[in-house]
Amino acid sequence: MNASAPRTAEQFDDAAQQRDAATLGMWAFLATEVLFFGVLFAAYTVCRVLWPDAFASASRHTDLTLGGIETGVLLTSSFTVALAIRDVQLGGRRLAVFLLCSTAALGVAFLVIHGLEYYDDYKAAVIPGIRYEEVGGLASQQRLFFFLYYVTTAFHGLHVAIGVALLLVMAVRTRQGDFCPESHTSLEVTALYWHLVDIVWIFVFPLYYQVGRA
Amino acid sequence: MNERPPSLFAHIVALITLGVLLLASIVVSRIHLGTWNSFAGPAIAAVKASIVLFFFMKLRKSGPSVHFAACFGFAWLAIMIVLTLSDFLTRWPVIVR
Repeated sequence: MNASAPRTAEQFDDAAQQRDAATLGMWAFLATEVLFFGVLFAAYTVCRVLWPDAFASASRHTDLTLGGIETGVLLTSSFTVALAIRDVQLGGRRLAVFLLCSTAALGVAFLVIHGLEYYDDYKAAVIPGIRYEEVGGLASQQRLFFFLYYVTTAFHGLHVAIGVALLLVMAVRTRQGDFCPESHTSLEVTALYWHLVDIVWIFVFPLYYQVGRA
Repeated sequence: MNERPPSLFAHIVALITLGVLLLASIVVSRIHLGTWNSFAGPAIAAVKASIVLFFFMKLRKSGPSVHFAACFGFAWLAIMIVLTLSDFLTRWPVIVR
């Protein structure tokens, strides 16, 4: 075992028990995150059932190509962080650091692409409260779509930014030799958080980008 | 106890499957399926999420307590959406008036 690797906390019998407790705690936290985004998805479902035409019309303002690229970027980032943990489990360090930095870079790429989308939305004047110039019979219901879109994607973006920061911290700690095959709990729970961020986007993509495209 | 590392092959197959499903969801969204268009995208998303949960998040190798916590998150979400929709749909004519 690496001499600099963290010791098991005194309340646990061994590293496996500590890892199981941390993993269960993280899953409980992720359940609350599911409910956090779930409220927004529930609001979306209600509004879309009530005003399907307005939501289909508003959804066509989103950029399907950029949304698809963002989805691909996040799916790839889930793959790279999973490989980073695998490398640590196999006793590696340099490849794991590279994979963690790659995952963080993919997260930054996601944020940049989404920033470009926001800029295009600003130019198209579809941001309620800032610049909104949609007119017509469906304009007020479309405003609801865009309001939900920005709240959901902004909170998701915040989660991505937090995830990027956590991944960089994990990369530094991996480089310092804080983790070993027997003990890498912090890395595992950070990866769980990152995967959940990915799962949220997996549902955002069809609900906000793919409606009314046929 | 040291956990056995997952197979690289399984991770690569999972990523390729996710990519194929992403392309499938984009193609399906472009095909006119009527009401089914509303369900196809979320259904494909559910399959993609399951792959991330079971392969990348290792839910299939986790213990019963983790299964319990994961199921409760999604079960509460399902209850919230079903009860909210049942309320709104039964009062639908009043709300849109």
